[in-house]
Amino acid sequence: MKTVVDNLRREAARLLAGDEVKMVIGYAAGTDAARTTPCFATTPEQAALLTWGPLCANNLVKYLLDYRFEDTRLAVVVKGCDSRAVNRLLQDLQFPRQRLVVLGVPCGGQLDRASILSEIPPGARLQDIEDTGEDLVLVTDKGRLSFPKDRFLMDKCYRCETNMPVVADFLAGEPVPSPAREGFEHTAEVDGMEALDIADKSSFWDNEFSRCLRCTACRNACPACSCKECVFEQAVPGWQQSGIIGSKVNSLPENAVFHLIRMFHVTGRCVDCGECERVCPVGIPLRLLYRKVLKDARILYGAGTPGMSTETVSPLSEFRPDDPEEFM
Amino acid sequence: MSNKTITRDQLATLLDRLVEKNRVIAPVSDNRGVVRFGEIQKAGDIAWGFDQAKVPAKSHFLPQTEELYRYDTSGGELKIEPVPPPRPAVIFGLHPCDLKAVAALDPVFDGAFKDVYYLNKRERTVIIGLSCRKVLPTCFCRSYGIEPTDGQGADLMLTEAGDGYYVEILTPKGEALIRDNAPLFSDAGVAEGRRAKDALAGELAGQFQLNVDLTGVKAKVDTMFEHPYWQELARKCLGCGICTYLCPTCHCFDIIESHSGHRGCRLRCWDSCMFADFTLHTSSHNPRSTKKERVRNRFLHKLSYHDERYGLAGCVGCGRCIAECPVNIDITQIIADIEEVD
Amino acid sequence: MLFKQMMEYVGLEPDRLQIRWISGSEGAKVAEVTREMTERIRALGPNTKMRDVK
Repeated sequence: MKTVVDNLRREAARLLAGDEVKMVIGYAAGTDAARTTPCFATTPEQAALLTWGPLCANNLVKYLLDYRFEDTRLAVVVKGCDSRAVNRLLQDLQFPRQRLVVLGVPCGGQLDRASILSEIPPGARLQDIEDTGEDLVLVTDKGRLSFPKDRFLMDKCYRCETNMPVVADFLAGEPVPSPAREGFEHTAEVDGMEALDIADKSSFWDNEFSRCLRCTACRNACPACSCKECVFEQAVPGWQQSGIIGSKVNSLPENAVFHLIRMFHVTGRCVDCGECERVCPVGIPLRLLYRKVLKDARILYGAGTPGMSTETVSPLSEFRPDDPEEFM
Repeated sequence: MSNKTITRDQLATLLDRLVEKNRVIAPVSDNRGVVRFGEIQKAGDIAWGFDQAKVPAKSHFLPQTEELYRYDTSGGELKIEPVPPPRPAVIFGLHPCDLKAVAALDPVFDGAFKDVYYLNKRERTVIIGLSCRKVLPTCFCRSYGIEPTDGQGADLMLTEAGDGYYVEILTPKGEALIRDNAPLFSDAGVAEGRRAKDALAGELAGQFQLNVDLTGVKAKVDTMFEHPYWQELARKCLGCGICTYLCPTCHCFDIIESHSGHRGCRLRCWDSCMFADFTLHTSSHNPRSTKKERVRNRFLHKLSYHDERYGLAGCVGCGRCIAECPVNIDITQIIADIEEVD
Repeated sequence: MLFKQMMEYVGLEPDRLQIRWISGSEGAKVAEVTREMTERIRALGPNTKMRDVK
């Protein structure tokens, strides 16, 4: 891990010093021992702030959209899952390839913040992270904290499809073993939900959607959401708002509509990076929605996980005469 | 009236009794373990072991979606139907930071313009505060001069002591509640209760991991409006509403119509200064057009504007935004940075 | 079809969404399909789940 960090800093410093990029978007130490924070290095000196490890869950690709209308060249640090989002943005012409340097990092899995937080002594400062193969060890000023990888990684990591970036101009380290579990049934939870009868599905999601705060963190963190003006944020005066979807009313039907529409809009775009579920402050199992879309797109249209390459076409952006349909 | 004590069982009985004639709001846990202030039907609904409710109690006084009035224009005539006055309510379980937050909201809605929707609920609500049991890693109320056992702002303040609670009576409203339920309270063990509270206060004071020095921060931040710091800070912001919606002192709202045919209602909904459309004008001009202006506004509001307008801190150090920000924007870090930057 | 499956997944009767492709020259089919759709919706009853959405 240390070599990866060194390589990353060296390459970032080189890119910035040579003016090859104006900014490197990566990770830096966070304000507690269980997290990192996005870092926007603009000078070779700031490249020394960059870090990498199992506390880098954020998908930084989303930030590219903030700079899509500028003419500067940027570098972004990506894990395997995040890299699919790079391909998706390139495919949608949201960011030009020639303005982008992709710095890939080999990922052995990300620790689940919610699970590790209670194990960390208050006020502990992170000094180092060790990978023993079985465990990830956070070395802090208040002791060494061991987290077995088979219990403390994020759920998405156990179903990891690509722990090495699918697109990268620079790779900061040698391939590492994937955290994916052998023989793990990818769609098990989705299958379970499908097996419920419709009333049970309804009450399950009613319960989840009624807890939604409508903070829109799921949308704002989502690299598939690249619209300049979101359908939920149309500039419509208050007295006309009841005529459109997406008012700020927090009610079960409004919330259900919000999530159902989001579900449809990310079809063919969702790369299953899991950011929506990670950022949700009330723990709505959002990936259970979007993985349903992935599954159906696979079954109905033979579509793989979006962003695996820039060649695949989104099932909703092409028509084939043999597409399944029921409306003729 | 002198202070009292109440046993755990009697407190449950009290809450069960209060439910009969009041809306009782208390910390409740949902199926995912998220604790928020919600209406209870019985004392057993309360998440008794809670440390901090993730969603604060402001939603009782300022609901996320609140009906202001209904109207009907059928027959060519406008009929307005006001909402019925709120039921009397009791809020149980506000920690000192949340008590202080209610105090910070009061002058917003009870200033030159009296907001009847807020004030009607506020006047009809008895607040039962509860001393903290522990200090969380994100707590920094002490930096704002709040002790985790402070009862200021509560009508009654409870502190766990032995098998029950030490009850401080702080206002006439609190006194009336005790008088109406006198048999449930006791005079026994009041001195021990007082001692237990003092001991707890001392113990909790030593548990704080986060401390910030606010000396000179307002004066400094007031000179920083054009500082490049905000641009750098705002880069990582996603522009979601987590910090504002979970903040116990944030209170921005939007007013919208909901109508179908001749009938409709006017609604007040939470809004967030972090949202891009918050300050969007009809002309399509947006004075806070980028994340820089929006992030700057939020922190200036917390660290300066609220103080300027009401002489009260706009932040109470509850730490919810620190705990939940998905990109680790941390107000204590920002306060430290403000002191550092040139 | 994707959207109908999504509706079903979150607990809405998928029959509430019906899409038909009918040519402008098939007037009788429009009437017939509309009648049939109306009957199917009537059988499902009011959509209470989405009642407050305007």
